[in-house]
Amino acid sequence: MSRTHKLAPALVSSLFGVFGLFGCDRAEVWDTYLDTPPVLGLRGSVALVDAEASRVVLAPVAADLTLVPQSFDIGHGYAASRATKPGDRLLVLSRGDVPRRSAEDQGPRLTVLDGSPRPSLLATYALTDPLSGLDVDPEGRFGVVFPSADDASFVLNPNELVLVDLARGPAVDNPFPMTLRSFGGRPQAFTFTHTLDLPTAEKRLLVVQTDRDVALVDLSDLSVPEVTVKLTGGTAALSPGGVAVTAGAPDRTDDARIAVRIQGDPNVVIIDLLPVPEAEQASTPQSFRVVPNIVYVGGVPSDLAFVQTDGGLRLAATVPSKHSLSLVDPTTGIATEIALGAPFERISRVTDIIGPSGEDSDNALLWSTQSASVAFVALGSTVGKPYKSVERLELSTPVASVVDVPAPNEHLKLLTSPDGRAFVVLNLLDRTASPLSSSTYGTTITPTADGERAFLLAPSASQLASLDLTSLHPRNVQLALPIDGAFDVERQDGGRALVAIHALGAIGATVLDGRSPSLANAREHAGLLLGELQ
Amino acid sequence: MIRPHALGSALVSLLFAHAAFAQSEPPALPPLSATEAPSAAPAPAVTPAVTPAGTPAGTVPPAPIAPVAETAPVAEAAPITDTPSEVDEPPPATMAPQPPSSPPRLAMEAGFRMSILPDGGFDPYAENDLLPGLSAGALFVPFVAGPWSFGFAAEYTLGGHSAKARGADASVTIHRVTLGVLARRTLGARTVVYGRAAPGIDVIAGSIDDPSLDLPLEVDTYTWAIDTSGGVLFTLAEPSAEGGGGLYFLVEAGYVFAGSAEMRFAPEAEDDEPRLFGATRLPDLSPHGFTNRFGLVLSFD
Repeated sequence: MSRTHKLAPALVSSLFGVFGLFGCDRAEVWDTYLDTPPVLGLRGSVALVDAEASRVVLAPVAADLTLVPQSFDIGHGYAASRATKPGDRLLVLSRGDVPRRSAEDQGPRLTVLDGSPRPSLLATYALTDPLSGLDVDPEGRFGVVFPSADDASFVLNPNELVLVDLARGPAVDNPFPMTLRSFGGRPQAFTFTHTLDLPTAEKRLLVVQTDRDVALVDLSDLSVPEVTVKLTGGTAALSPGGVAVTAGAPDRTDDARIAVRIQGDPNVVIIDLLPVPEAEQASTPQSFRVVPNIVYVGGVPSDLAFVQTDGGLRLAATVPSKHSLSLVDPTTGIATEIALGAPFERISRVTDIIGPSGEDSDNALLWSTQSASVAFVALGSTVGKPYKSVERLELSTPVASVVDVPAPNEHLKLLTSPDGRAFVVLNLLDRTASPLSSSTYGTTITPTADGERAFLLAPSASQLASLDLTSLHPRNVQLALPIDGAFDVERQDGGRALVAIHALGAIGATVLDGRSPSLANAREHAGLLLGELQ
Repeated sequence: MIRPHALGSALVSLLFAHAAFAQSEPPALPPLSATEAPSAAPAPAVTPAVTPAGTPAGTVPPAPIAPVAETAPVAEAAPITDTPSEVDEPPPATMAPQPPSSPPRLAMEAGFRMSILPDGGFDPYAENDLLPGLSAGALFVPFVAGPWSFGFAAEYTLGGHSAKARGADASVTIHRVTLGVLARRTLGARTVVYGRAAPGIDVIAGSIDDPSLDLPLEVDTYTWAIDTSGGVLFTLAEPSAEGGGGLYFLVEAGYVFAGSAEMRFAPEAEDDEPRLFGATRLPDLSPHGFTNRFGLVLSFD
């Protein structure tokens, strides 16, 4: 072989060999296979959590029903996400790289995104510990990060909370870590109260239920130590099962109360939030004094609510085992029973919707998963009775849940059956119950944010229905693919859109006009989680 | 990080390069120098000379043998009737050294191209950065100045790749058409080096099959490109005197500058499709990067 003939293959080999060495791997995200991602509905977009890509895709809807996805980095180690109740914000908790081995490894953080039709990153709060529990204030002011059952650090303090004031940006004291004084319990549930007129000022409290006590955190001043109310007095552990809160009379600052239901126990703990005696003011950082009282409600209560009667404030407790409603005077602890004739389990105060029953007396709605009826209880007193009337409305099936409808149809309640095949549109003003039926088990009903419609869909079915809440006319739409979630959102032009998610492949969506859903103008999208990856 | 298949592809390339070269070795090479000239072919100087007018053929006494190169064949009994001055002049083909191999002036070329596309926009369609392709082109080199020559080159390259992108089948095809200028220099008898700059256009077609829709998502887009390459041409077979084409082997490397193409995928629905579709935007693709090529060139001059 001549010299020339030796040179050519050498050149080719070296060139292609070098190129082979340069054949670098692609970004790892393209090698991931997608599980069904968490999908949340916000006010103006649908949020798809793409944990494998450490991002959230927010997809607002344009006027022509086109999704306009945008990608937001959430950091490594997605843990949880929550939307505030009106859907104005999305909170995403990430654990970061665990364990952190280098300075380049990411730390835990909380990312806050704007849920409007023009999404944006609002704030990123760095956290110190990789925790997985996240809850959010219904009013959207606070977020709380806490250890969940999934957290398994080498050393873990289960009573450590991190409170984030979402109204402020990151600061030295925001997020604010705290450790609850514990008597052996760990946090189970959080209740953010509305504003309470407390002895020194109006405040909001965070009620933390552990598995054996209740802690009260002053949200107006997180540096003030929390107050822990120990429920367990003897050897048996008493676990809180729910709370009810009242601000008391508008003209008083010493009658705010918190009632704590105890699981499997006929007693309720009523915590009075009283002024601190002058003698103690110098020795305590608290601005109120906590005085717990135990009241007997006649049986194991299933739900609690503070109600106003002609006789004053009462704690109403449903006692299904006795088919009764107990009204407890929180001052004296004296309980009065109202016979209901059926085992009602849940109570909801509806005075704001239908008005008072008498002079400042509340109206309440009761329902049950055991009895095919609902009851309207008017709590104004009449001679010889602690209530004005109890009106039962018979239904075809028991009620599994009651869904509130936003204004302007807040006088309607959507009742669902346990099997998800029967629904009732309950009109609180007319006391009418309009039935609806579904051919598919597990159908759910969700009111739209504008309160004008509700949409119904069944898991993995390709049909959905839009229900006009004024005419109660359902409009059925058959889509091409199974629906794994649907969300009513505000479009960028101010209209409404209904986004049906198809959890197949890289996630698809069918976007329909929210007010007049039809396939004629619906727009189908595919591969949503392939997009916006830069 | 180097993946095993990247090394594998390099090895395959290496083997393929050897195989391609072996196949291109010509069966019979033209004379490399006068000392290897075949004796069967008489030198022009000793071909039967023209007989001077009026002189009867065969009556002229044999002329002295011209002083030809020592290995030049001598025709037997060839009547030499030329004048001494003509006889003294050495035959040009045998006395002067053979000129360097003439590079192709009008030629077609075809070959394989391998490119490295480091752009993240290429990631959905390939598990590494390598883009294989086939190329075909034409050369026209009308300007020659000594060992230098200048001309034009046109090339079409077809490259493509496919891969799983987050579980979806994704593929991309890049059609590159360039037209540019070429400068060459002859080195020795059988080697030509060259450089070229060729602006052009990349037409990019992508496709994604995802279960979230019953139709494939597709994109057709384009961007600009400038191919800047240099290479070597090795002569495998000289053009024959009768007008047959020469054959050359080329090895080339360079860098391609390219713009960024927006990759918005949407179903390409039929006319009777009543549904409306939205688009999915994958990362923009800029097919720039280092590239190399090897192939064969067939000349026509």
